[in-house]
Amino acid sequence: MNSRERVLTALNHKEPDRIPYDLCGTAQTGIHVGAYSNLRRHLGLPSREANPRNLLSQFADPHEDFLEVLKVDVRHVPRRSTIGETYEQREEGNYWTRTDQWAITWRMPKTNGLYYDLWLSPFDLDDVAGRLNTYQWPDPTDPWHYELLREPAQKARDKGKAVVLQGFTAGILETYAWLRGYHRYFMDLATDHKTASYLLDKLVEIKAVYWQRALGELDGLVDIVNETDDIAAQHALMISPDTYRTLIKPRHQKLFAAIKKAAPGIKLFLHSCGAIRPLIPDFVEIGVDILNPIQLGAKDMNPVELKREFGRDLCFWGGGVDAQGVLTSGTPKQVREQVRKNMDALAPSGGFVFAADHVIQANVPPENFVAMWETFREHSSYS
Amino acid sequence: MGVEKLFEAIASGNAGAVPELIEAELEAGTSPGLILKDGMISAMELVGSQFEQGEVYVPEMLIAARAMQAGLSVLKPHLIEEDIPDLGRVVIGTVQGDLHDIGKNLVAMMLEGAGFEVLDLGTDVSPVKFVEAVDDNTDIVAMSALLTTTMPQMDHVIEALTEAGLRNRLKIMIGGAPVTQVYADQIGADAFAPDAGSAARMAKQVLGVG
Repeated sequence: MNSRERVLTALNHKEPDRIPYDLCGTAQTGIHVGAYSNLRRHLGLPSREANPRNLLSQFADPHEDFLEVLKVDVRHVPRRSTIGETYEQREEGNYWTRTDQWAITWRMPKTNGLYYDLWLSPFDLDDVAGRLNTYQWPDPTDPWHYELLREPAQKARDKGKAVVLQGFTAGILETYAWLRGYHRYFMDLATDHKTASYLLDKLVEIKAVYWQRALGELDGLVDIVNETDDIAAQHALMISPDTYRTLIKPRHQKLFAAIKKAAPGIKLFLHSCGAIRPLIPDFVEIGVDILNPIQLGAKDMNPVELKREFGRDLCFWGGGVDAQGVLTSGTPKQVREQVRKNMDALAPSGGFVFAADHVIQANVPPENFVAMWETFREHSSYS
Repeated sequence: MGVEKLFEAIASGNAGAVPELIEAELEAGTSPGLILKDGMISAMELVGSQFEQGEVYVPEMLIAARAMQAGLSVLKPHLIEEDIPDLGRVVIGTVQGDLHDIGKNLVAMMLEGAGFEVLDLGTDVSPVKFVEAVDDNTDIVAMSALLTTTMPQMDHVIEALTEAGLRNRLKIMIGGAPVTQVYADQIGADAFAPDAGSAARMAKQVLGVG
């Protein structure tokens, strides 16, 4: 069984030879450049420059030797990002800044800065209609987005790996928040559904065009489509279930249907972190096949309960260890214990791809990562 | 009674209706203190507790806070005239290296809504800036961090306040996604609030007021 077969078997709710493993295969199962360098050193791999694949999150673009040593079953197709990284880095006071194809400006503190964060939003103003007249939407028909996709996808397929393709920008809700600024975005959800609807519809349209084109051009080379939208915080949803169901769910449904029409049989991975449990039935209803990251420290994200309630309908990609807690600040022994428990809860009957329950941040000790990985390897066989 | 209508307007986030309702109550002779307490602060208390219970969410909190702010700008001159004191003074900020502010903004709004005077230092606030912002009237220093990687800055701020001889006359409150009671105890913070809804309650508890 090669990696691709292993992953697809699991995603079809059957038990493969062993639980598949992901690190860096999706936009959300990454490792921060700081942790990547530390880990390479710890594993005795030759020193290589840790370049960020994603500028905002500063996830490392991992080298193939790293992925081989860790026996990662998944490969991500690098696609050119429209968010955060298109234009030159500038220096503005105590920050590095960048403006992207969406006219969003991001900044990172020069001192102790670890990531780029949202700073200036093009629709953070009262006259949205006026701004729309002058605004240039990124063009999903531009060949620039597709030129570099085929080669790495084919390479990964030839290596027998499962191939994941990221979407055009992040989720519709997240991108909307970045376009409007967080304050206005939340206010819109309470008081201005007209603006919200217009912008969300525009984003669905752009993303659907991209998926149709990308999946058409890659014609069967993509196994998993990587979509995302952050709707929950640590202890609760950020917006009410009612708001989600009225305003966003129909648009997610439309987008996901367009994806599945463009590539029948493809698996839809949705990243939605935090305390997302109240909306999981909605996700199942609109065609989500895989849920990531199963953030263990968030409210009501108990892996035993989630598997019992949703395991027939949904695959879990993540949930291996609490990255906010034990993985960062626990002992290797605590990491091992937790990994065992989570694997016992999530692995039965397939439908599980092991990954940490969120990004491996800069301050995760390499010893803890190794404890997680070794424990996973020791117990990942299904026989 | 007008105060009830005002309460409803604030709790439901109807900022537009608030100034008129306040003017009407003032004209009717209701004291500014009572308008504030029964018509506005209680409304925000309700919203805060509904948020804690998961009955309302961030958008509803924001519009309630907006309605509260609309009310405060009308009522403030009258409160000053009547010499109505605030509940306490809070300095709040997101720690150094961290640019996330929605959660911190919500806490600031809820603290104002509860009757505190709040100085918001913004995001990426260094320990030095926290220390400089504290004056003789400051009661609470409140810190927010969204990330496991920036959370340790909270300890540095407490150290800086201690070195400046300010720690003992202040209460320190912390919050943010990765923050836990365990961490609060570890660094010697006086209070931890898991969300904006409980923050105002904790602030009052920690000062023994309200």
